[in-house]
Amino acid sequence: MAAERLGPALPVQESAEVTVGRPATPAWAPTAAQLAPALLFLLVFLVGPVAVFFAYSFWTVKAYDLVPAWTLENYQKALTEPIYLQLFAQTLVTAGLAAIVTVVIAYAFAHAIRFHLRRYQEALLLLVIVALFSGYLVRIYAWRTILGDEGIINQALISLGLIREPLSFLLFSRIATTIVLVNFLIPLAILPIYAALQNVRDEEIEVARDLGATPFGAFWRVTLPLAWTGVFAALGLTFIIAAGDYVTPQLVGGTSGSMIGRTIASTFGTAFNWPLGAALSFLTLVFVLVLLGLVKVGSERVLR
Amino acid sequence: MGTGTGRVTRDDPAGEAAIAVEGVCKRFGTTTALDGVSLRVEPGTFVSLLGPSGCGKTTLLRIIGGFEHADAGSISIHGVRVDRLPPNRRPVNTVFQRYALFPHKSIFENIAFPLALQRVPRAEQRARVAEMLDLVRLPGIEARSPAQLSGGQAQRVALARALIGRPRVLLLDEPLAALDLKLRKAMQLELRRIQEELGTSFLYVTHDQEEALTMSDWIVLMSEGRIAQQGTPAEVYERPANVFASGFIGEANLLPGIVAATDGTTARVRLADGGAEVTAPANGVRSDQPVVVSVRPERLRIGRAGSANGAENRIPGRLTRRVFLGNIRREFVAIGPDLVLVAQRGVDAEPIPNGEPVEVSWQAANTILLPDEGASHGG
Repeated sequence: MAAERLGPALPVQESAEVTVGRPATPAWAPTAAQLAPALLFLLVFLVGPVAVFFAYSFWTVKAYDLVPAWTLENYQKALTEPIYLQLFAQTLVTAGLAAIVTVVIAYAFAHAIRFHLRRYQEALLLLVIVALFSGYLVRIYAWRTILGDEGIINQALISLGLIREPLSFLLFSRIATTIVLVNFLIPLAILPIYAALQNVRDEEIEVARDLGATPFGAFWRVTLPLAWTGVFAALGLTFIIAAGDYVTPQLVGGTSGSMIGRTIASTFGTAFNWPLGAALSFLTLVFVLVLLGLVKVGSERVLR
Repeated sequence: MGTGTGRVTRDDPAGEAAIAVEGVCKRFGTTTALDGVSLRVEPGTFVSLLGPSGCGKTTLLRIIGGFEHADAGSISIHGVRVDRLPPNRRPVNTVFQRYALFPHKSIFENIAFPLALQRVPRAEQRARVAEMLDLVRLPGIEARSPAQLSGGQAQRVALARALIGRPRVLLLDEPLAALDLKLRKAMQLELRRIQEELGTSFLYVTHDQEEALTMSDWIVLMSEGRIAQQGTPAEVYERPANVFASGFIGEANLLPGIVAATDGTTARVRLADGGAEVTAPANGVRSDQPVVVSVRPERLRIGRAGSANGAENRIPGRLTRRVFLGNIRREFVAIGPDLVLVAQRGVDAEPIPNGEPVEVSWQAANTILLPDEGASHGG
C-alpha cells in the first residue's frame, strides 16, 4: 500500500541519486555484504563438514572402508545398546548438573558486580577474562593434584584427623568431572549474564519492591525475567560445551564420570567406525537441543 | 489555584499526619543532602516538595519510600514509625520520574503486579485494573506492551500501577519532568483530579514552581537540605519569608537597600543602586538594617513621567526593552545605573517607545521587605 502511494515519487528520487553520482545499490546490499564473510565461513567450515558426517551416519564400514549403504542400523544400534543409552543419560545428567551449577555461581558473581561492586566492575571483569587464559589441560592436571588420593583435600582431611582413608570418590567420579567442568565454564557464563543484567534498571527493581515485592519476589518476577536471555544463553552455552567435552571425563571422570564424547572419539579412532560415531554425535546433538528447547519453553511459562 | 479546598487543617494538633517527618538528616560522603528536615502531610492533601536540583527533595522522598535510610530523625506514616521497614512493607507507593514500567509484562500485568503479589483472584484483578485504567482515562489498553505507549500514556499507567493497591499515601518524584509542556499542563490538572477523586495524600517532588502552585494545597520549599518556607501556595507567593523563597517562587524584582527610617508599621528604604526611596510595610525591620525589597512584576505600573496615580512608590526610569509573550508584555525599566525593574503589562496597554522616560509605581502594601542574608541572591 505504502509502495503504491510512493510510486509516482520514485523516479524523482532515482534521478536525484543519479545526479549525485552514486551507484544505484539496493538497500539490502550493505547488510548482505556485512553478513557474507561470516555466513561463508560457517557454510564452508561448519555446515559442510557436519553435512558430510550426517551422510556418514547412514553409511556402514566394510573391511576398514566406508560404504554408502544408506541404512538406519547405526541409529538403531546407538538407541538400543544399553551401554550407549547409559552413556547418553550420564552425559546429559553430568553436563546438565555442570551447566546449572555453573550458571548459579556465575549469576551470583555477575549480580554482585552489577549491583553491589559497580566501582570495581572493570577489574573484576578483567579477572574473569584472565581466568579464560590459563590452559585447559594444565587446569585439569591441577585438579587431579587437588582431588587425588595424595591430593591437597585428602591429605588435609587426614592430617586433621577427620578421615583415615582418602576419600576415593573425589577423583575419577561424576563429582570430579562436574567440578572441573564448572571451573572451566564459569567465566564463559559470567559474561553473557553480566551483559544481560546491564539491561535491568535499578528503578525497575525499586518499583517492584515499592509495590510490595520481597527481595526474592523482585528477583523472581523482575530481575530474572529481564536478564533471562543472558542467563539462558549461558545455560545453553555451558551445557553444549559440557556435553561435548571428552578430555575432562577421560582424565578425571573414571567410569561413573564417563561421558559420550570419549566414546565417540574412540569410535572414530581406535574402532574406526565413523558411521556409528557420526550417529552417536547427531543423537547427542538432538538430545541436547531438545532438552534446551524444553528448558526454554518451560522457563517462558514460569518467568513472567 | 486557590487555597480553599477545605482540607488543609494545619492547626489541628489532634489529627494524625499522613506523613510526619521529624528532624531527618542524611549525608552522602562529605555532602549534606538533608539537614534536620521536619514536615507534616495532612491526610487527603496534595503537598509539593519544591526546590532546585540538589536541594534534597528527592532524597527525602526516597527516605520516605524506604529506598534510602536517614542518618538521624524519624518518619511516621499514619502514626506508624516506618524507619526500619523495607519499601514493600511501607503503606506508601511511589511514581518514579522515568515510569519504570516492566518491559517484559503487558499493561495488564504491570498494573496488576501488586495484586498478583497478594494473590488476588484473577477476576478481581481484571475488574480493578479496568477501574484504574478508567481513572487514568486509558480504558481498554490492557493487552498492549509498554513499548507501544507514548510518554504520557506510560506515566498514566505507572500512576495506575502505583494506585491499584490503594495506598493511603502516594509519593511522586517529578513524574511529569519527561513530558512536553502541553502534556505536562494537562497532566497537572489530571493528577489533581485523581488525587481529589481518591482522597489519597500526595507528596509531590518538583523543581517547577508553577507546577507546585497549580496543584498543591501546601508547598514545602527546600533549599540546600533545609526547608526554606512552607505554606499554602498563596502564602508562599504573597508573603515569601526570605530572598530565596521570593526569587524561586514566581518572579520578583529584588532590590537591595538600607532601612532609612521606620515607625514600626511602615519603613522607608533607600535603594543601594540609584538611591531612590521606597515605602513598605515594616515587617519587623530596624533602622539601618540592610534589606532586600521584593516586588512582583505584575504589581508594577508603568506610565509616562508625571502621570497621576495613587501609588506610594514612584521611581522615574527609562524603558529599555520590551518582550512580547502573547497574553502579556514584559517591560524592562532602568531605574539606576545597574538596576533594571521587570514589569508586566497587558497587551492592550498604551505602547511606550523604547528609551522614553517613564515612571514606575506600585503600592506600598505590595512591597515586601526581606532580611538581606548577605547571600548573592540579589536581583
